[in-house]
Amino acid sequence: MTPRVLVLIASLMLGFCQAWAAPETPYPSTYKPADSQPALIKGANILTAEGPVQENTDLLIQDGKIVAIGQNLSAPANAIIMDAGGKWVTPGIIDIHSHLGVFSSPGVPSMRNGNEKTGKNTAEVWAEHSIWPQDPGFELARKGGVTTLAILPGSANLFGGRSVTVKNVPSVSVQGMKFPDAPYGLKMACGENPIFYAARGNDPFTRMGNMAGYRSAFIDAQAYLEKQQRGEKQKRDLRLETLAGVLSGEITTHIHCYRADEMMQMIDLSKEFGFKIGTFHHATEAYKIADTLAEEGIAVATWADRWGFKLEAYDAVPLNVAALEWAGVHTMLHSDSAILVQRLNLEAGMAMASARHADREISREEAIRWITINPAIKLGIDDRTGSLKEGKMADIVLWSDDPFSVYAVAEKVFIDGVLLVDREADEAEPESDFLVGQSVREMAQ
Amino acid sequence: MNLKSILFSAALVIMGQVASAETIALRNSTILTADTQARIENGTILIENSRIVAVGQNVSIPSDARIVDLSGMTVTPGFVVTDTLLGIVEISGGANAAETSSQSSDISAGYDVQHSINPLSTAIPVARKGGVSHAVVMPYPGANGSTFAGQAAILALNGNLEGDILAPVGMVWDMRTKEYGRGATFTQLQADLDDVRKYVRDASSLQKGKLLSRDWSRADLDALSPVVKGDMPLTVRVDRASDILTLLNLAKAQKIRLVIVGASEGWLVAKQIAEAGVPVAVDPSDNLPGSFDAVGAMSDNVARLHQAGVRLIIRGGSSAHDAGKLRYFAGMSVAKGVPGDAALKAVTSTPAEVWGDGTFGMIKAGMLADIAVWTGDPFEPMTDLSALYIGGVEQSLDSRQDALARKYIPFASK
Repeated sequence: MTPRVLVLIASLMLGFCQAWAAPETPYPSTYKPADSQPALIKGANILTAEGPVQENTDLLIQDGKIVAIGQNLSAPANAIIMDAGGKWVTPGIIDIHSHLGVFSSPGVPSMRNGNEKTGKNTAEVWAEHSIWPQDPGFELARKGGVTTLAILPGSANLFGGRSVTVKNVPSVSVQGMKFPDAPYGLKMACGENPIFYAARGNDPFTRMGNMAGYRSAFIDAQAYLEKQQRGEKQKRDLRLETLAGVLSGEITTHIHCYRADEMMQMIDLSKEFGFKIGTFHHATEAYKIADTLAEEGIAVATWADRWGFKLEAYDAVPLNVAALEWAGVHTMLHSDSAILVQRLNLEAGMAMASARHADREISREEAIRWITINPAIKLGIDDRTGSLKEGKMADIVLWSDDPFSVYAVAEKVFIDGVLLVDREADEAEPESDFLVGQSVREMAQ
Repeated sequence: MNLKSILFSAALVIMGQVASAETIALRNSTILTADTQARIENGTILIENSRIVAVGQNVSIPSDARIVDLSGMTVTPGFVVTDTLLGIVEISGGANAAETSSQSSDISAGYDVQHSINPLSTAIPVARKGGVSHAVVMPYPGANGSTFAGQAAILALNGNLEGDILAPVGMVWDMRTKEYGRGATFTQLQADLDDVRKYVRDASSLQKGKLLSRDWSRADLDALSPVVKGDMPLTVRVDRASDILTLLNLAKAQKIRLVIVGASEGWLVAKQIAEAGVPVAVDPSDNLPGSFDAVGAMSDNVARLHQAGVRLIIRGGSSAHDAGKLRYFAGMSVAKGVPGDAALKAVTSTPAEVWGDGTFGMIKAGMLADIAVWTGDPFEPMTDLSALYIGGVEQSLDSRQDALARKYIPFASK
């Protein structure tokens, strides 16, 4: 083919189908659950994240979906039957703040792929383009009952980039993990991080510099969005595309913000530019403005009681989560850690315990929502996962014990009905290619 | 806790000496002793002059004793948190809010962490609320490039301004493999210890210029002398199995006491560690291959070490602020296969034996009355700490976090 013919074909394509425009969903998910045997879990205490605990109840999984929850269910002939008397069943845990795959193990410098950090605004980067699916942390999280994760970039700069939601399944490509049709998020960061870690010598240098940075960026995004809405031609700009997605409501915001006063500034920022804040992450001072957060309908994802690792986290209190729950805030627990993600159930137990220490109980039914349906709602996937309900994805954990006990072990973990963790089975080869064939691991067998 | 009991506790702390002279009988609890008889049901602990004078089911109670009924409660020794920055880090980042190492070019091994400890740190009351009575505070290697980080100290968490500190209790050595490489750092350690031995035999060897392994200060040599005499353990933070073996051999050849902290790949050489009688401080949540020195990090490391007969110390969490979560790390160890009694010893009597002076760490006649009173299983989050005695004195269980919660959260105050 001559260059001239190529140009002709190209201009025809441009004319007829605007081939230069992005496909509707670039980098699409290729995730398809593997085939699975039906499974019947019998006689468990089931926390559905939808209603009261159902004691001594059965749950049937078929074709990757939950098909029934009830008494004395009968199983198809080929089903695996599990006697779960005295054990507990919950929805698969969802971590709304993970850096697995973008800050991978082993933590060598070339694997620090979570902070683009080349400027204050890197809204153009997408976390999924950094994710290393072989990060051994994914498998360890799965063994802790985690079935879905939001992988975030940042929080070194004001706009860290686009987040992605993944199913916690073994896969060679990140496309094979991407949660199908899950909405995107944008990671933003307040406070100390953008000041300290952003390119030194560049702005922002102060918290007022942070605010100016957000405002300038959204002014540009407004202009971009207006042109787009008027149907005017303009060159595609990845950075503005993401920011415009926030303004139009297609992309949610994950805002790393510790201090109450800074959260109030961010709320005013959202009003100045007419977007809705999705979730404040970390938010260790959220208890100081719990009523405002409830009124504004802004969610919080935080820890049970991490504190003191920097000045903006100095006022964290163990009662934060309970206080938010009591005020009616959409409350979640997150990990932000490859270690903590393995015990989010215990984090929830610790937050429940804080309420009890204040002589005011939070029920298991309320607490399980912090790590299941509540993050599913904020990630826009609650129609398909996050709770145990007929027709939903069979993302399920069978626990050895009360899931809020320090002794609870995730004995079996199903993702879309596929049994991916089974403590009764012989220790399989590690899933991560990094660990396969390592002499030190083989000596453990 | 209501305001009255807060004031009462505060008064007890202020009147420490007076209160500790009191005779107290703690009755009717399940006592987990961390001693040879692990568990005493419906037992009594008699406290006189800050010490435990009797423990058991049939303890005769003097008529002047204050009787505290602990029916339904479980009692343990106060927990001992190991390899912590409690008291030396207020916040992890920021000017003058943390001092974890020597900044002097002259002092490395001689760095004495006891002077860095601020007994008024807000992290200390938070740790107390987790039943922690003692902290083994350990420095990190300093900017001077020395492999010796300095001397550890044990802080009793009783809030005394003058500091209730036992020091020095251990020497911390760091491999600094990045700066020196293994081939150099172990060679240097042997040469250093040989020099210290010469100095112990003849203190004038320093002025005589016979100590050549490095440019020694007298402070460093004095600090290292108890190590070569076998009076003070050398603590090393190390993960790789081959490095652990190197250290075991070196400690044997040098006849020094060794304590290993970290040991991600410890399970692989658990038999050798157990045979050498070397205690290991391990974090049960440390299962990520975070570096090429920890490719063998495994979830069941802690259980395998225990099964091999290693003297286990459980640690976990970060720096100063998570010290009160030690009880959960003990619980996680149990979930991974360590028996409950062994996990309790690993957060009480074993670290107390390794670094302490034999006065605390067990509920046993003669020991200081460092006692945590729990509403149930001490490792479970839903269990509350109902009282903590240190040296027979009931401690305040109120923290700055509680004050902030009371200020902002309805229902926070009881």
